[in-house]
Amino acid sequence: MKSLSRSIEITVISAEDLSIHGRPIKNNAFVVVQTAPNATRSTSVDTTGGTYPSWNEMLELPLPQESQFVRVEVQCRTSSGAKAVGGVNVPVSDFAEGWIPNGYLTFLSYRLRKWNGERNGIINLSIRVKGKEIT
Amino acid sequence: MSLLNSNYCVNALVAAPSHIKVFSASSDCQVVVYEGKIREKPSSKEEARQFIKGSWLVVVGRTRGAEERRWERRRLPSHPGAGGGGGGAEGATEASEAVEFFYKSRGLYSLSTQLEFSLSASKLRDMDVLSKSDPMAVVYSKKGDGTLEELGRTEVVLNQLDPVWVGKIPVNYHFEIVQPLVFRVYDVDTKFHNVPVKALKLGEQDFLGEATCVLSEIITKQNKSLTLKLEAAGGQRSMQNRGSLTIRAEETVASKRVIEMGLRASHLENKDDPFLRISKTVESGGTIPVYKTEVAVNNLNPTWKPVRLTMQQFGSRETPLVLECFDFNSNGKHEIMGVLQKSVAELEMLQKGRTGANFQIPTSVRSSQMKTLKSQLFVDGFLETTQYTFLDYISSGFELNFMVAVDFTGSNGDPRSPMSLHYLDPSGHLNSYQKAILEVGEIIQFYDTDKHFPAWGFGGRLMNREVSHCFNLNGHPSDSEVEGVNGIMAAYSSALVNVALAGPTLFGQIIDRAAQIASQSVSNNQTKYFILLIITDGVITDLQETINAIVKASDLPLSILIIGVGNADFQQMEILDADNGKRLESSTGRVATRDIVQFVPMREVHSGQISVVQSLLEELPSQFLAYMRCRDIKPHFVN
Repeated sequence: MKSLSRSIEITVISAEDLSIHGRPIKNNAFVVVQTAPNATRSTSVDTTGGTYPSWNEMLELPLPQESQFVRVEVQCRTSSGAKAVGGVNVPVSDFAEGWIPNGYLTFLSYRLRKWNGERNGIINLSIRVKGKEIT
Repeated sequence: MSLLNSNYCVNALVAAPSHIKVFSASSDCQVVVYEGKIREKPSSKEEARQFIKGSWLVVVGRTRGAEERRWERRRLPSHPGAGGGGGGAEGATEASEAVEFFYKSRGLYSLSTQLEFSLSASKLRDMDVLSKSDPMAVVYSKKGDGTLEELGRTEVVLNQLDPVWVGKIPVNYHFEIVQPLVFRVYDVDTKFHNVPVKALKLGEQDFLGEATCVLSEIITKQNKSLTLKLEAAGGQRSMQNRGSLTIRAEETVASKRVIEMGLRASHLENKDDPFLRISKTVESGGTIPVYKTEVAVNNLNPTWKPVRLTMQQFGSRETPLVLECFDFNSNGKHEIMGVLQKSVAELEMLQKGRTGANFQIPTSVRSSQMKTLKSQLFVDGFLETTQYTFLDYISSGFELNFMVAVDFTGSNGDPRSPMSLHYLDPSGHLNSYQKAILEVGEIIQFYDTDKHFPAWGFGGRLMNREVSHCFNLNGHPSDSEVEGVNGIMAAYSSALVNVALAGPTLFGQIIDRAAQIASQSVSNNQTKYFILLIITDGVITDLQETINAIVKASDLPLSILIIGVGNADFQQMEILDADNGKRLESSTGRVATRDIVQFVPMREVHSGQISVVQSLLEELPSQFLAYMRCRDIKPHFVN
């Protein structure tokens, strides 16, 4: 029987061309990454990049066997609380299956979508899977 | 002549616009932002060369009207000075210099690289009766028509059969062309020893031997050093031992040092949108701007994004740099907020001492008196690194592996008809497919040690009546590899007999197959980079399928070259070639990590004197470097 204990190192590099209600965001964007209902991490708030925030922050999260995707969501801190900017479900198969060699550092970029499906900017990530297959 | 007057325009194209706040600092500089393109009209040639900054850059030379823009852009960089007939020559040189500067300033390898040959020989023939030979070596480049052009001569070493020449011979290396070289060694007669080397008539000297090779054979060797046997004139083999010649190539790029530092200012006064401009002082007096930061909007204590300067930009550690802080003004009339002068070494001291340097400002417009301000500049981080070049990787064992895919769709026309793109002319005249394979293959083969190339076809009907979108050209059920460029040519000819043309045109499986090979190699080691050449006559049936495959492969050590043959409309291909700065997006929302596709239609080969293949290969070294650098893969130096 095979069991898998693995985790991911996800580096949230930067995002491009973010807006809220059609207006470019000013500052204070941050990113929430979720691999399972009980596994959520977030980056710090970007204070200088404005519409083109960059974080370059590495987050480590467990990646349960049953997880099919990693949820990545960009939010923006405002005086009235955090506002959703856009998100993406990163399929695990994009960085952990198929041709991708074990432990390979994949650089991935995704189109962000708002809750209503509208396009909103691009996010740049790198992901490396850690952990071994135990048989 | 200013760059503007000579009708050249530098277009900075920001593809991944992390520096979206691009602007122009000097008042006589104009910037137009249009559809993500920043068009800028520099006030002088110098300014144009220095200013260029952004994530991606395209330089467009407009010598002969808008219809040739595209061609010009691709052609100019590879051939400095190739004016292409009629008046454009001077301007072309200027533009290509500007491009060259840009690449150098960003530390990217592209275009030509300056190399220097050091020569030595051993066991030369002894021609003199009373003493030993007095040898001198001459280096030639062999032109397409077989004529030789002299590149340089060494000095004469007296009385020596194993000379080590000191004189260096400068050579320009171009990745995208085959550069045959001829070396000749002469024994210079004693009576000419007072004659300057350059004035020596070679016909009057004793010929000791010659050797030939192509430049890429030298630079792909470890230590970039190659030893050749000297032969009789014209390469005739003789029994006589004429000794050997060793050629060693070095890059002359002064240095690969790069400085990265974080700059911050405090207590800036009055104005509110500050940015920094860094200029280098030059020996002739005056300054050349080399860097501009982004604008910190509404911030009098700004921290700018890390500044990255190459040695070409900052000169030496002791060269004084002028750092000017301006208030950004959208009308281009930026106001000076403060000036200071520091060398790189002094900036590093600021960082170590965690002290600030005070800005100064001229007391009045005409006065040279300076008033010291309360506002200060701080250096928060300082990092000096080495940037490796393409040749560093290649000469330390990295390889380019070549793969080919040929279009077997019906639109090529019945191969038995002379009208067909696949027609094999019994007279030996090559069809477009053969030309493309040969031209790309003969360049890349030198970078591939085993010269085993996977070769596939797509869109053809096999013996078993099934249409395949990825079959082995050699007809082998599992092994797609053939030997050498000739092996590809032979497999192609045999496939035309065994495979019937069919359709539709799908690239997806070919790209997937290539990506699979590339990723298998990655899991073994990291020293291989793959190049897939797709030759096609036409329109892709499913563009999105192709885009999906490209996006999926965009993070692997792989570049895809597409050559379009025939007269179809290749507009779609331009989409794949993300030169316009739009990143490819798959149907699942994944965006290409980097641009890995180059497209060029074969018909352009007939419209200009420069091979279509060169423009296709030009960007390869920078795609290779982009991959290696983002992963921090370093060359394996021997020592």
